[in-house]
Amino acid sequence: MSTVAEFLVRAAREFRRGGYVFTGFHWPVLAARLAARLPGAPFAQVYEGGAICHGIGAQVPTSTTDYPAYADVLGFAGSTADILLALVWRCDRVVLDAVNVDLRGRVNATAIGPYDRPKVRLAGGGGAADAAAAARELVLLHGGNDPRRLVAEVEHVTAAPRPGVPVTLHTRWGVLDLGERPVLRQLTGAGDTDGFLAHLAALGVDTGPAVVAAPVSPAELTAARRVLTEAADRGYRAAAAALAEERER
Amino acid sequence: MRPPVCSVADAVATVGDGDCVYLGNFGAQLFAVADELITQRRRELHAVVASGGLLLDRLIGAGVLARATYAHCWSPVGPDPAWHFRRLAQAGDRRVVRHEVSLGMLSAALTAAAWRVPFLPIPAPAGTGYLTEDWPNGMVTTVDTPFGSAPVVRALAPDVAFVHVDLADEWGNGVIRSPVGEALVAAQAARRVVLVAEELADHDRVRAAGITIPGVLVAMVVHHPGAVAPDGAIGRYPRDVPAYQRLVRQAAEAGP
Repeated sequence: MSTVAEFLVRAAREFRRGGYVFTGFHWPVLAARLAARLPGAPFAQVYEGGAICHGIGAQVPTSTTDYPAYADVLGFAGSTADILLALVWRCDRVVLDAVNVDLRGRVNATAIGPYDRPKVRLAGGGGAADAAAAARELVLLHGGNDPRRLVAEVEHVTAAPRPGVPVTLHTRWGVLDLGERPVLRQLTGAGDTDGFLAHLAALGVDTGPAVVAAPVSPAELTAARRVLTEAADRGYRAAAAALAEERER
Repeated sequence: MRPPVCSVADAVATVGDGDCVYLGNFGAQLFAVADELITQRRRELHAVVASGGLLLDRLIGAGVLARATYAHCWSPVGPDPAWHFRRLAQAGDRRVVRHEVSLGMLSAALTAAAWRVPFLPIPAPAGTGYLTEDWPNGMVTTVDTPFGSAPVVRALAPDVAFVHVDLADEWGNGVIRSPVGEALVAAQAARRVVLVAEELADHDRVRAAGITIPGVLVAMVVHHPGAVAPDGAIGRYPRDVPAYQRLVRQAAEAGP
């Protein structure tokens, strides 16, 4: 399993491809912040509350509605309808957090109970359903450390892509293409990927085409740790946990 | 023509038990109004809150609500659970009727009310529980017309909408400096609108800043600096992360 910093670097490359990128809550916000500090094509972030930002703000936003944190780079300030009903289908890609995700790229934002059959679903979809349904390309970021969060079919779908839309899932173990024929494209973890591969095999994922991902550079890692540190200071519990994990390694 | 300027307490005193109340704005939530609803012991309200979060959670915990329409209900800082909501959901408690909608659905429902039509077609997120499990709880259906079939969302007209603005003038014109979320269309949909302003300013300054909420919609103006804290307001104050964390701890420790 790669570190969270390495995961974040690879996720940031999705933004560094450039264009207008609908940026969802949590990991996408942090990946975008990192991407803006690394070489790559210019990109603009599109937020569900009605914002389009060219650049990153003075502070890590605690969420995409933490407006004062990015007031200095706020360009278009419209409405949720502007973004989710009228603009998101024009975005080059949609990047969303994926706490629980299935092989077709369907997401369950929040659930309590067993991974495959959660007993209680909590509210949390927000604009992700609208954005995913309109996406031309969907990128999902799962930064957790338990591969069982990837399941054959999620119960209680909060966001789903249209059939045929390209879906990429970034995890700490690898990068997958999801859809009718899910494929492991890259292995990103070092040494301890057996459990992940066995889980994918049990799900019927084709792992044959996978190649080992190119390593991330020291400069990229330094930049990622800086983002994680800033995020931890702004209350991101996953960022604080990632930094603690790195200290223990 | 010129709406009266009053306190939060005066404005909340005009809310009746059982009213449908929109509480703005998306991500800059009127905690001052929610706290006053709790203080004045309003009951059986229908809250419409796009980013429900801790504001909606506090109203649930205080027993203010009979119904809630929302798209989120968790703390954006952390993120952390909204504990009152979580306990309600886990216990299968039906005392608060819940309508969970996507943000796009909510905007469309408010737009339908603003346009005074009974429903509006929506680009419904196919394959999600919004449609397959009826999370909107009766707000969405499919209609067949000569122009084709489409999912539609029922119009949602709040009795009163509380909308946060940075500036308000003597005509009731308001300036929102952040993204608007669904605040403008909620104001257009509501039967009555209360602006809650960080600052009162003369008309020339408000006009120069760019009017977001036209005074023709507005019944009352409240001057209340810090109205959305612990959320932040552009140019005024940041989102207060420690305060958010305190609120989560309080709700977690409140118990069932």
